[in-house]
Amino acid sequence: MNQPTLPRSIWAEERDDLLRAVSGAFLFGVPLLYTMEVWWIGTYTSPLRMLAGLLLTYAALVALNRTTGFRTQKQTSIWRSLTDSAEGLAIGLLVSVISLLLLRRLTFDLGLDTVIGQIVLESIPFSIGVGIANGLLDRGGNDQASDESENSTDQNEPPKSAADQPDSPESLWKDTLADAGATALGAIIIAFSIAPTDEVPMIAGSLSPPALLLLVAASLLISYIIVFEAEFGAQDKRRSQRGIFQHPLSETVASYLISLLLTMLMLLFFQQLDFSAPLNQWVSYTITLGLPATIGGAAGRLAL
Amino acid sequence: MSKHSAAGQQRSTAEWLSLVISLLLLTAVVGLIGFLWITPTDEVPRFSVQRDQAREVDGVFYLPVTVHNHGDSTASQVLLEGSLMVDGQEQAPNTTLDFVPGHSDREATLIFSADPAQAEIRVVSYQKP
Repeated sequence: MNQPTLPRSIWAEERDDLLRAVSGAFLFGVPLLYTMEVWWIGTYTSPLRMLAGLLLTYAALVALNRTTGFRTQKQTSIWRSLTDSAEGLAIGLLVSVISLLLLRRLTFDLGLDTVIGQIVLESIPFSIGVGIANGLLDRGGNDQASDESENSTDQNEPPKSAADQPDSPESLWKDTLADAGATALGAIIIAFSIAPTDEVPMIAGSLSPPALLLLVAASLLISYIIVFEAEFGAQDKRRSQRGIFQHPLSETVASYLISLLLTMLMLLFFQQLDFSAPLNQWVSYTITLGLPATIGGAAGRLAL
Repeated sequence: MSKHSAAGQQRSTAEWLSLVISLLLLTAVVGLIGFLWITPTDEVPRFSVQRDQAREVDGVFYLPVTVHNHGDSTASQVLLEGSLMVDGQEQAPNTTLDFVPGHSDREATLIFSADPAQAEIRVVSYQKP
Protein backbone atom coordinates (compact mmCIF):
# COMPACT_ATOMS: atom_id res chain seq x y z
CA MET A 1 0.00 0.00 0.00
CA ASN A 2 2.78 2.37 0.91
CA GLN A 3 5.06 1.28 -1.89
CA PRO A 4 3.40 3.12 -4.82
CA THR A 5 3.41 6.51 -3.06
CA LEU A 6 6.92 7.47 -4.14
CA PRO A 7 6.65 6.86 -7.90
CA ARG A 8 3.15 8.33 -7.92
CA SER A 9 4.31 11.46 -6.18
CA ILE A 10 6.96 12.06 -8.85
CA TRP A 11 4.32 11.90 -11.56
CA ALA A 12 1.80 13.82 -9.50
CA GLU A 13 4.34 16.54 -8.82
CA GLU A 14 5.19 16.80 -12.50
CA ARG A 15 1.50 16.86 -13.41
CA ASP A 16 0.89 19.67 -10.93
CA ASP A 17 3.84 21.63 -12.32
CA LEU A 18 2.63 21.24 -15.90
CA LEU A 19 -0.98 22.06 -15.04
CA ARG A 20 0.22 25.13 -13.14
CA ALA A 21 2.07 26.13 -16.30
CA VAL A 22 -1.08 25.69 -18.39
CA SER A 23 -3.09 27.70 -15.86
CA GLY A 24 -0.56 30.51 -15.93
CA ALA A 25 -0.70 30.50 -19.72
CA PHE A 26 -4.48 30.92 -19.76
CA LEU A 27 -4.57 33.49 -16.98
CA PHE A 28 -2.11 35.77 -18.73
CA GLY A 29 -2.71 34.96 -22.38
CA VAL A 30 -6.49 34.92 -22.73
CA PRO A 31 -6.99 38.66 -23.42
CA LEU A 32 -4.66 38.44 -26.44
CA LEU A 33 -6.45 35.31 -27.61
CA TYR A 34 -9.53 37.51 -28.02
CA THR A 35 -7.71 40.07 -30.15
CA MET A 36 -8.27 39.79 -33.88
CA GLU A 37 -5.18 41.82 -34.73
CA VAL A 38 -3.07 39.04 -33.23
CA TRP A 39 -4.73 36.47 -35.52
CA TRP A 40 -4.31 38.75 -38.52
CA ILE A 41 -0.72 39.73 -37.90
CA GLY A 42 -0.04 36.02 -37.52
CA THR A 43 -1.20 35.44 -41.09
CA TYR A 44 1.48 37.59 -42.66
CA THR A 45 4.42 37.19 -40.31
CA SER A 46 7.57 36.10 -42.12
CA PRO A 47 9.40 32.92 -40.96
CA LEU A 48 12.37 35.00 -39.85
CA ARG A 49 10.12 37.10 -37.63
CA MET A 50 8.52 33.94 -36.19
CA LEU A 51 11.94 32.56 -35.26
CA ALA A 52 12.95 35.88 -33.75
CA GLY A 53 9.69 35.91 -31.76
CA LEU A 54 10.28 32.43 -30.40
CA LEU A 55 13.89 33.23 -29.57
CA LEU A 56 13.00 36.44 -27.74
CA THR A 57 10.23 34.65 -25.85
CA TYR A 58 12.70 31.96 -24.87
CA ALA A 59 15.14 34.57 -23.60
CA ALA A 60 12.34 36.21 -21.62
CA LEU A 61 11.36 32.83 -20.17
CA VAL A 62 14.93 32.14 -19.02
CA ALA A 63 15.03 35.52 -17.32
CA LEU A 64 11.61 34.97 -15.72
CA ASN A 65 12.62 31.49 -14.67
CA ARG A 66 15.34 32.89 -12.42
CA THR A 67 12.66 34.60 -10.32
CA THR A 68 9.27 32.97 -10.88
CA GLY A 69 8.87 30.12 -13.36
CA PHE A 70 6.23 27.43 -13.02
CA ARG A 71 7.92 24.68 -11.03
CA THR A 72 7.56 24.12 -7.30
CA GLN A 73 11.25 23.53 -6.83
CA LYS A 74 13.60 26.44 -6.49
CA GLN A 75 15.77 26.68 -9.54
CA THR A 76 19.40 26.16 -8.75
CA SER A 77 21.36 25.68 -11.95
CA ILE A 78 21.32 27.72 -15.11
CA TRP A 79 21.00 24.45 -17.03
CA ARG A 80 17.77 23.82 -15.18
CA SER A 81 16.48 27.27 -16.19
CA LEU A 82 17.34 26.60 -19.81
CA THR A 83 15.47 23.29 -19.95
CA ASP A 84 12.49 24.53 -17.94
CA SER A 85 12.18 27.48 -20.31
CA ALA A 86 12.18 25.14 -23.30
CA GLU A 87 9.31 23.29 -21.66
CA GLY A 88 7.56 26.60 -20.99
CA LEU A 89 7.83 27.56 -24.65
CA ALA A 90 6.49 24.16 -25.73
CA ILE A 91 3.56 24.47 -23.33
CA GLY A 92 2.84 27.96 -24.67
CA LEU A 93 2.75 26.62 -28.21
CA LEU A 94 0.52 23.72 -27.20
CA VAL A 95 -1.94 25.97 -25.37
CA SER A 96 -1.91 28.28 -28.38
CA VAL A 97 -2.85 25.44 -30.76
CA ILE A 98 -5.59 24.13 -28.48
CA SER A 99 -7.18 27.51 -27.82
CA LEU A 100 -7.02 28.64 -31.46
CA LEU A 101 -8.69 25.38 -32.47
CA LEU A 102 -11.31 25.81 -29.74
CA LEU A 103 -12.24 29.26 -31.03
CA ARG A 104 -12.15 28.00 -34.63
CA ARG A 105 -9.40 30.45 -35.57
CA LEU A 106 -7.45 27.55 -37.11
CA THR A 107 -9.40 25.76 -39.79
CA PHE A 108 -8.45 23.29 -42.47
CA ASP A 109 -8.80 25.74 -45.35
CA LEU A 110 -5.81 27.78 -44.18
CA GLY A 111 -2.33 27.63 -45.68
CA LEU A 112 0.59 26.24 -43.66
CA ASP A 113 2.39 29.57 -43.22
CA THR A 114 -0.83 31.17 -41.97
CA VAL A 115 -1.39 28.40 -39.46
CA ILE A 116 2.17 28.41 -38.13
CA GLY A 117 2.26 32.20 -37.98
CA GLN A 118 -0.93 32.37 -35.92
CA ILE A 119 0.22 29.62 -33.56
CA VAL A 120 3.63 31.21 -33.01
CA LEU A 121 2.29 34.71 -32.47
CA GLU A 122 -0.43 33.61 -30.05
CA SER A 123 2.04 31.38 -28.19
CA ILE A 124 4.09 34.39 -27.09
CA PRO A 125 1.62 35.69 -24.46
CA PHE A 126 0.80 32.13 -23.40
CA SER A 127 4.49 31.34 -22.88
CA ILE A 128 5.01 34.49 -20.84
CA GLY A 129 2.03 33.33 -18.76
CA VAL A 130 3.84 30.03 -18.15
CA GLY A 131 6.97 31.93 -17.15
CA ILE A 132 5.16 33.92 -14.48
CA ALA A 133 2.79 31.14 -13.38
CA ASN A 134 4.22 31.04 -9.86
CA GLY A 135 4.03 34.78 -9.49
CA LEU A 136 0.48 35.19 -10.81
CA LEU A 137 -1.24 34.03 -7.67
CA ASP A 138 0.08 33.98 -4.17
CA ARG A 139 1.41 30.55 -3.43
CA GLY A 140 1.14 31.45 0.23
CA GLY A 141 4.52 29.94 1.08
CA ASN A 142 2.95 26.59 1.91
CA ASP A 143 4.44 24.54 -0.90
CA GLN A 144 5.40 21.85 1.54
CA ALA A 145 1.96 21.60 3.04
CA SER A 146 0.20 21.38 -0.29
CA ASP A 147 2.63 18.72 -1.50
CA GLU A 148 2.04 16.62 1.56
CA SER A 149 -1.70 16.79 1.18
CA GLU A 150 -1.47 15.94 -2.51
CA ASN A 151 0.35 12.78 -1.57
CA SER A 152 -1.98 11.70 1.18
CA THR A 153 -5.44 12.74 0.04
CA ASP A 154 -7.30 12.20 -3.16
CA GLN A 155 -9.26 14.99 -4.71
CA ASN A 156 -12.64 13.36 -4.27
CA GLU A 157 -12.09 12.74 -0.60
CA PRO A 158 -14.19 15.15 1.45
CA PRO A 159 -12.29 17.89 3.27
CA LYS A 160 -11.86 16.89 6.84
CA SER A 161 -10.27 19.55 9.01
CA ALA A 162 -12.25 22.74 8.84
CA ALA A 163 -15.52 21.29 7.62
CA ASP A 164 -16.16 19.42 10.84
CA GLN A 165 -16.02 22.57 12.85
CA PRO A 166 -19.00 24.80 13.68
CA ASP A 167 -21.33 24.57 10.73
CA SER A 168 -23.66 27.38 11.64
CA PRO A 169 -25.92 28.42 8.76
CA GLU A 170 -24.70 32.04 8.90
CA SER A 171 -21.05 31.20 8.34
CA LEU A 172 -22.07 28.77 5.60
CA TRP A 173 -23.86 31.56 3.81
CA LYS A 174 -21.02 33.92 4.44
CA ASP A 175 -18.53 31.53 2.83
CA THR A 176 -20.75 30.89 -0.13
CA LEU A 177 -21.27 34.60 -0.64
CA ALA A 178 -17.55 35.28 -0.37
CA ASP A 179 -16.82 32.66 -3.03
CA ALA A 180 -19.54 33.95 -5.35
CA GLY A 181 -18.29 37.49 -4.87
CA ALA A 182 -14.70 36.54 -5.62
CA THR A 183 -15.80 34.68 -8.75
CA ALA A 184 -17.86 37.63 -9.92
CA LEU A 185 -15.04 40.08 -9.30
CA GLY A 186 -12.49 37.97 -11.16
CA ALA A 187 -14.88 37.37 -14.05
CA ILE A 188 -15.54 41.09 -14.42
CA ILE A 189 -11.86 42.03 -14.24
CA ILE A 190 -10.94 39.74 -17.16
CA ALA A 191 -14.12 39.80 -19.28
CA PHE A 192 -15.10 43.45 -19.02
CA SER A 193 -12.33 44.56 -21.35
CA ILE A 194 -13.29 41.93 -23.93
CA ALA A 195 -17.09 42.33 -23.77
CA PRO A 196 -17.42 45.49 -25.92
CA THR A 197 -15.05 44.30 -28.67
CA ASP A 198 -15.88 42.95 -32.12
CA GLU A 199 -14.12 39.69 -31.37
CA VAL A 200 -17.10 38.39 -29.41
CA PRO A 201 -19.57 38.39 -32.35
CA MET A 202 -16.76 37.36 -34.71
CA ILE A 203 -15.80 34.24 -32.77
CA ALA A 204 -19.38 33.45 -31.81
CA GLY A 205 -20.42 33.62 -35.45
CA SER A 206 -17.98 30.92 -36.46
CA LEU A 207 -18.89 28.48 -33.69
CA SER A 208 -21.28 25.68 -34.60
CA PRO A 209 -23.33 24.01 -31.83
CA PRO A 210 -20.79 21.18 -31.38
CA ALA A 211 -18.00 23.77 -31.18
CA LEU A 212 -19.99 25.65 -28.54
CA LEU A 213 -20.41 22.49 -26.48
CA LEU A 214 -16.68 21.87 -26.74
CA LEU A 215 -16.04 25.41 -25.55
CA VAL A 216 -18.33 24.88 -22.55
CA ALA A 217 -16.47 21.69 -21.65
CA ALA A 218 -13.11 23.41 -22.07
CA SER A 219 -14.20 26.38 -19.94
CA LEU A 220 -15.22 24.06 -17.10
CA LEU A 221 -12.05 22.00 -17.41
CA ILE A 222 -9.71 25.00 -17.44
CA SER A 223 -11.47 26.56 -14.46
CA TYR A 224 -11.26 23.26 -12.57
CA ILE A 225 -7.56 22.88 -13.37
CA ILE A 226 -6.73 26.41 -12.27
CA VAL A 227 -8.50 26.10 -8.92
CA PHE A 228 -8.06 22.45 -7.95
CA GLU A 229 -5.23 20.88 -9.91
CA ALA A 230 -2.57 23.48 -10.55
CA GLU A 231 -1.51 23.63 -6.89
CA PHE A 232 -1.22 27.38 -6.76
CA GLY A 233 -1.10 26.98 -3.01
CA ALA A 234 -4.58 28.02 -1.99
CA GLN A 235 -6.07 24.63 -2.86
CA ASP A 236 -6.05 23.32 0.69
CA LYS A 237 -7.94 26.34 1.82
CA ARG A 238 -10.39 25.92 -1.04
CA ARG A 239 -10.96 22.25 -0.36
CA SER A 240 -11.73 22.97 3.26
CA GLN A 241 -14.04 25.83 2.39
CA ARG A 242 -17.64 25.33 3.42
CA GLY A 243 -20.86 26.45 1.81
CA ILE A 244 -22.61 25.57 -1.41
CA PHE A 245 -19.24 25.79 -3.15
CA GLN A 246 -17.91 22.95 -1.08
CA HIS A 247 -17.31 20.20 -3.61
CA PRO A 248 -14.78 20.89 -6.40
CA LEU A 249 -17.21 19.90 -9.15
CA SER A 250 -20.18 21.85 -7.83
CA GLU A 251 -17.90 24.82 -7.18
CA THR A 252 -16.63 24.71 -10.77
CA VAL A 253 -20.13 24.48 -12.22
CA ALA A 254 -21.59 27.12 -9.91
CA SER A 255 -18.83 29.59 -10.67
CA TYR A 256 -19.22 28.93 -14.40
CA LEU A 257 -22.91 29.78 -14.09
CA ILE A 258 -22.06 32.98 -12.21
CA SER A 259 -19.55 33.85 -14.93
CA LEU A 260 -22.13 33.23 -17.66
CA LEU A 261 -24.69 35.39 -15.88
CA LEU A 262 -22.21 38.26 -15.55
CA THR A 263 -21.14 37.78 -19.14
CA MET A 264 -24.75 38.26 -20.23
CA LEU A 265 -25.05 41.41 -18.14
CA MET A 266 -21.83 42.83 -19.59
CA LEU A 267 -22.93 42.03 -23.14
CA LEU A 268 -26.27 43.70 -22.46
CA PHE A 269 -24.54 46.73 -21.01
CA PHE A 270 -22.35 47.12 -24.09
CA GLN A 271 -25.35 46.50 -26.36
CA GLN A 272 -23.78 43.47 -27.95
CA LEU A 273 -27.01 41.71 -26.98
CA ASP A 274 -30.51 43.04 -26.62
CA PHE A 275 -33.82 41.43 -25.81
CA SER A 276 -34.87 41.23 -29.45
CA ALA A 277 -31.78 39.20 -30.36
CA PRO A 278 -32.43 35.58 -31.32
CA LEU A 279 -31.73 32.81 -28.85
CA ASN A 280 -28.72 31.40 -30.71
CA GLN A 281 -27.05 34.79 -30.56
CA TRP A 282 -27.56 34.96 -26.78
CA VAL A 283 -26.18 31.47 -26.35
CA SER A 284 -23.16 31.76 -28.62
CA TYR A 285 -22.11 35.24 -27.43
CA THR A 286 -22.44 34.26 -23.79
CA ILE A 287 -20.47 31.04 -24.14
CA THR A 288 -17.78 32.76 -26.19
CA LEU A 289 -17.19 35.40 -23.53
CA GLY A 290 -17.78 32.80 -20.81
CA LEU A 291 -14.30 31.34 -21.25
CA PRO A 292 -12.33 34.44 -20.23
CA ALA A 293 -14.96 35.19 -17.58
CA THR A 294 -14.68 31.82 -15.90
CA ILE A 295 -10.87 31.94 -16.05
CA GLY A 296 -11.07 35.28 -14.27
CA GLY A 297 -13.53 33.79 -11.79
CA ALA A 298 -11.16 30.94 -11.01
CA ALA A 299 -8.32 33.38 -10.38
CA GLY A 300 -10.64 35.47 -8.22
CA ARG A 301 -11.44 32.55 -5.92
CA LEU A 302 -7.77 31.66 -5.53
CA ALA A 303 -6.88 35.24 -4.74
CA LEU A 304 -9.58 35.37 -2.04
CA MET B 1 13.01 20.68 2.48
CA SER B 2 15.78 18.13 2.00
CA LYS B 3 13.53 16.13 -0.31
CA HIS B 4 13.14 19.15 -2.53
CA SER B 5 16.74 20.22 -2.73
CA ALA B 6 17.63 16.64 -3.59
CA ALA B 7 14.98 16.52 -6.28
CA GLY B 8 16.26 19.85 -7.55
CA GLN B 9 19.57 18.26 -8.46
CA GLN B 10 18.23 15.14 -10.02
CA ARG B 11 15.60 15.16 -12.68
CA SER B 12 12.82 12.65 -12.15
CA THR B 13 11.59 10.32 -14.86
CA ALA B 14 8.47 12.42 -15.18
CA GLU B 15 10.50 15.57 -15.70
CA TRP B 16 12.69 13.86 -18.28
CA LEU B 17 9.58 12.77 -20.14
CA SER B 18 8.09 16.25 -20.32
CA LEU B 19 11.48 17.69 -21.33
CA VAL B 20 11.83 15.19 -24.18
CA ILE B 21 8.28 15.80 -25.41
CA SER B 22 8.82 19.57 -25.18
CA LEU B 23 12.04 19.40 -27.16
CA LEU B 24 10.40 17.23 -29.82
CA LEU B 25 7.56 19.75 -30.09
CA LEU B 26 9.91 22.70 -30.33
CA THR B 27 12.03 20.93 -32.94
CA ALA B 28 8.91 20.27 -35.00
CA VAL B 29 7.80 23.91 -34.84
CA VAL B 30 11.24 25.33 -35.57
CA GLY B 31 11.61 22.77 -38.37
CA LEU B 32 8.30 23.87 -39.90
CA ILE B 33 9.34 27.52 -39.71
CA GLY B 34 12.66 26.60 -41.32
CA PHE B 35 10.77 24.81 -44.08
CA LEU B 36 8.65 27.93 -44.65
CA TRP B 37 11.81 30.01 -44.75
CA ILE B 38 13.42 27.85 -47.43
CA THR B 39 10.36 27.58 -49.65
CA PRO B 40 9.81 30.97 -51.24
CA THR B 41 6.58 32.42 -49.92
CA ASP B 42 6.40 35.88 -51.37
CA GLU B 43 4.07 35.28 -54.28
CA VAL B 44 1.57 38.13 -54.47
CA PRO B 45 -2.14 37.44 -53.89
CA ARG B 46 -3.97 35.81 -56.77
CA PHE B 47 -7.69 35.15 -56.56
CA SER B 48 -10.14 32.72 -58.01
CA VAL B 49 -13.87 32.99 -57.44
CA GLN B 50 -16.07 29.96 -57.19
CA ARG B 51 -19.83 30.33 -57.16
CA ASP B 52 -22.20 28.09 -55.26
CA GLN B 53 -25.83 27.29 -55.87
CA ALA B 54 -27.94 30.45 -55.73
CA ARG B 55 -31.05 30.27 -53.60
CA GLU B 56 -34.16 32.29 -54.21
CA VAL B 57 -36.15 33.82 -51.39
CA ASP B 58 -39.15 36.02 -52.22
CA GLY B 59 -37.87 36.83 -55.68
CA VAL B 60 -34.41 37.80 -54.44
CA PHE B 61 -31.40 35.68 -55.39
CA TYR B 62 -28.66 34.97 -52.85
CA LEU B 63 -25.46 33.79 -54.51
CA PRO B 64 -22.81 32.36 -52.17
CA VAL B 65 -19.29 32.71 -53.55
CA THR B 66 -15.98 31.42 -52.30
CA VAL B 67 -12.84 33.46 -52.89
CA HIS B 68 -9.59 31.54 -52.87
CA ASN B 69 -6.23 33.28 -52.57
CA HIS B 70 -3.68 31.23 -54.55
CA GLY B 71 -0.80 33.53 -53.62
CA ASP B 72 1.39 33.26 -50.55
CA SER B 73 0.76 36.69 -49.14
CA THR B 74 -2.27 37.82 -47.20
CA ALA B 75 -4.63 40.31 -48.82
CA SER B 76 -6.87 42.62 -46.82
CA GLN B 77 -9.94 44.61 -47.83
CA VAL B 78 -10.58 42.32 -50.79
CA LEU B 79 -13.37 43.90 -52.81
CA LEU B 80 -15.63 41.37 -54.51
CA GLU B 81 -18.03 42.63 -57.14
CA GLY B 82 -20.79 41.01 -59.15
CA SER B 83 -22.27 42.35 -62.36
CA LEU B 84 -25.55 41.39 -64.00
CA MET B 85 -27.69 43.09 -66.63
CA VAL B 86 -31.32 43.16 -65.51
CA ASP B 87 -33.79 44.78 -67.95
CA GLY B 88 -31.04 46.82 -69.57
CA GLN B 89 -29.72 48.05 -66.22
CA GLU B 90 -26.54 46.87 -64.57
CA GLN B 91 -26.74 45.41 -61.07
CA ALA B 92 -23.41 45.47 -59.27
CA PRO B 93 -23.60 44.13 -55.71
CA ASN B 94 -20.27 44.14 -53.91
CA THR B 95 -18.77 43.16 -50.60
CA THR B 96 -15.43 43.58 -48.87
CA LEU B 97 -13.62 40.64 -47.31
CA ASP B 98 -11.58 41.84 -44.34
CA PHE B 99 -8.83 39.30 -44.65
CA VAL B 100 -7.92 36.57 -47.12
CA PRO B 101 -4.68 34.86 -46.02
CA GLY B 102 -2.50 33.06 -48.58
CA HIS B 103 -3.80 29.68 -49.77
CA SER B 104 -7.03 30.24 -47.90
CA ASP B 105 -10.74 30.48 -48.63
CA ARG B 106 -13.25 33.11 -47.60
CA GLU B 107 -16.97 32.99 -48.24
CA ALA B 108 -19.36 35.81 -49.04
CA THR B 109 -22.83 36.20 -50.50
CA LEU B 110 -23.91 38.58 -53.28
CA ILE B 111 -27.56 39.47 -53.68
CA PHE B 112 -29.29 39.98 -57.04
CA SER B 113 -32.87 40.65 -57.98
CA ALA B 114 -32.74 38.25 -60.93
CA ASP B 115 -31.23 34.81 -61.56
CA PRO B 116 -27.45 35.38 -61.36
CA ALA B 117 -26.56 32.48 -63.69
CA GLN B 118 -25.22 34.97 -66.24
CA ALA B 119 -23.65 37.25 -63.65
CA GLU B 120 -19.98 38.08 -63.85
CA ILE B 121 -18.18 37.95 -60.51
CA ARG B 122 -14.66 39.14 -59.89
CA VAL B 123 -12.27 40.49 -57.32
CA VAL B 124 -11.82 44.16 -58.05
CA SER B 125 -9.18 45.26 -55.60
CA TYR B 126 -7.30 44.43 -52.42
CA GLN B 127 -4.89 46.01 -49.99
CA LYS B 128 -1.58 44.87 -48.65
CA PRO B 129 -2.06 44.55 -44.87
